[in-house]
Amino acid sequence: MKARLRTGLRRLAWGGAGAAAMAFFLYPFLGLLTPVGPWQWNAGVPGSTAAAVRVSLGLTGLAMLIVIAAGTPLAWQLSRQQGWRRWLWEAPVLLSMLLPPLALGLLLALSLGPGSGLGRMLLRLGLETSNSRLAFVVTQIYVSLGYYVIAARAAFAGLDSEWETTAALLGQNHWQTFRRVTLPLARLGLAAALSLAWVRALGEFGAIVITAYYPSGMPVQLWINLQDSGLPGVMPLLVLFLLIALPLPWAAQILAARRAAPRS
Amino acid sequence: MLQARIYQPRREFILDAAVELAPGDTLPITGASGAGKSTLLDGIAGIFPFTSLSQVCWQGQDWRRLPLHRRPFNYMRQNSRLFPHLNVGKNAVFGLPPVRQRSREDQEWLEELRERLELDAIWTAAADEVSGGQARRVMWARTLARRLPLVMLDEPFAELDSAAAMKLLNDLCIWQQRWGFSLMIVDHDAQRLREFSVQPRILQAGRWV
Repeated sequence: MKARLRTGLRRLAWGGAGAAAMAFFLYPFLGLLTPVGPWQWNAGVPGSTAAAVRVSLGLTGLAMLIVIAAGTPLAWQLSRQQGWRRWLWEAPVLLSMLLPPLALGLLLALSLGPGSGLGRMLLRLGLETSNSRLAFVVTQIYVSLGYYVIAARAAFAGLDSEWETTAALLGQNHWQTFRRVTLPLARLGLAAALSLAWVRALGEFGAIVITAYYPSGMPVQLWINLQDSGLPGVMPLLVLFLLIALPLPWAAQILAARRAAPRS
Repeated sequence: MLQARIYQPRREFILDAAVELAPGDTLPITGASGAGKSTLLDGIAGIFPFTSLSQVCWQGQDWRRLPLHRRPFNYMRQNSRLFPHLNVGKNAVFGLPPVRQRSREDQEWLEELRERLELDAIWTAAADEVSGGQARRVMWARTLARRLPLVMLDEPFAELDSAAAMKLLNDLCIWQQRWGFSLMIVDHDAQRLREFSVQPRILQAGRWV
């Protein structure tokens, strides 16, 4: 009886703590219910909302493909480093995450913009490095790659190296082992890493506002709408942003979880 | 012909053992726990970098120059486990090429292993759905599916009851006669190893007795 009571109380305490945390996370969204007047979908500029959604989804999607392609091997490499080598390799990755986004935007604009050597060279090739799709994607990659790499590194490091040895003993070369064993076993962690990178890139404002004010993605469009029309122009875009940002992390997690438990 | 000398310092002793094994021959190895039996097989396989005093030659070829996945042996380690993301069947064929690229002989051999190791009923089961003994039998299939000239088995009867172990031992002898592979087999149960025509060798504190 006493034990049952204790179990009940423990469950209640855990449940209460969980509910309090959820309430904390959700509380700011009550702001959406604030009466700010009739919502303006395009904040005075026809098609601006749809354009912002298109820019954000398309270019962030492209940035994520590059983040996965470049970040996965780097994360695997980092997970295999020991001691000071690891710190040395990880330092640049952490550095990219440490800077305030605004400062990062300024540095990117100075080093990659049309005033820089590289920027001038690219411009001669017809590639604009400021207020362009290229600048948008490069900035997004820069701000999210570190998050992906650090989370993916943890996913790889958590794997028992015994699995890779077993695969090699069964005649699999490095690439086959990586594809058939390492990647599938690290799948859940990699999905979490991708989710993190996605929300980081999609929501990026501070750096993007410096390097790629145009083409305006959703965060910059929010800023423009706030300036032009006040809160009624912000609210609809905010709701859209939430609807667009959530599905990818969910889909990635569901897909990874399903594949991690084979029943074929 | 396998010619090996493994020199591997361990915390309690230095493993220093030489092995010579002709094609088709058997070397049963026994010894107390921690005598260096698994270290010897790991050493020959080259799972850890070879020490400068270690040497492994197979048919005159130095294994130092061959990456792990290209060395021509099948090795079931003592602590082997099934890949948790693959079902039983996919675990068993892991080392084989895809079905379309498999030779008929490979496929028939796989079918035989599947039948002799009683894997039919669990072929589509998830790796974590099978018992310890069943998992061990899947590991037998996974190890032997690729027909290579050297087979190394470290405590391959762990988790199997004695009747199943004896049956597998008999099958192993038949398969060895048929395929002609060299065999190194480690078992703490010296009695069981006496089933082979060769006397088991005993390893003690890293040296042959």
